[in-house]
Amino acid sequence: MATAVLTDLGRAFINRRLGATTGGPTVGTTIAAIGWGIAAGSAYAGATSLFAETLPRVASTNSGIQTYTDNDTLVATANLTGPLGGIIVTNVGLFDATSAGNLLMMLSLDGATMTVNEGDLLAVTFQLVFL
Amino acid sequence: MPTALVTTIGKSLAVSRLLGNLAAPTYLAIGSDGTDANAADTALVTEFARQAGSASVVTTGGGATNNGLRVTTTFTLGGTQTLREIGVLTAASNGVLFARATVNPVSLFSGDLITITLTVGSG
Repeated sequence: MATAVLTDLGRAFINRRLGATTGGPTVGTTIAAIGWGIAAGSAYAGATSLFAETLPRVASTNSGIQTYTDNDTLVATANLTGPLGGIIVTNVGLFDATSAGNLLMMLSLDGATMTVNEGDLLAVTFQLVFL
Repeated sequence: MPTALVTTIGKSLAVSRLLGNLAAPTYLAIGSDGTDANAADTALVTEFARQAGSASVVTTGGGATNNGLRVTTTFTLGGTQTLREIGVLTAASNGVLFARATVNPVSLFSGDLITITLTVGSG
């Protein structure tokens, strides 16, 4: 089973984008990139980094779509390419920067893994629905 | 301190803001109609004042952190009114209604100062 979370930093990011100028952590201003990690662990709201993130991240393509009502869902997607020798992925994350920055959303495979061979593409999509 | 209902267009606004579009909802409006807030609301029913507020990130509970947007401002009343509704919008006039709340009636008189704080929380 996988675990997907909107992190505490992600909640701060949303409220900062909604106009907050004080309170909570200082975060970035754009949804920027998706990255992956290779260590075991379950996603949790307080996470600030992936489990053993392996760089580089890939810039995300972001848009709004309808799940229940018009434009109520943010979609961020990126295609990550398997590096030389391949990679065994255990978790992925959405960030507000292509390096460093803040972890906004996170998904862990919770004991499972996904092997991405060299040159293969892993398409990762995060969706955030405002209910 | 009322917690507001995010409107349908408010949800769309939130997504737009995450994509870097539209203005942030940092204006507070107050009105005199006590009709319950509805997701389909696009404006206060009977607005009588609006002005810019200051917004902050807060933790509203429920086990989540940084999960609230709090907007606050102080109004000086220009006449006699009964406060029954509050909204947070994106502009000094018109604009997008992000959220709306109703409150128990509060009688206000010319020259009164009232500080309004509206918190919009998420799970």
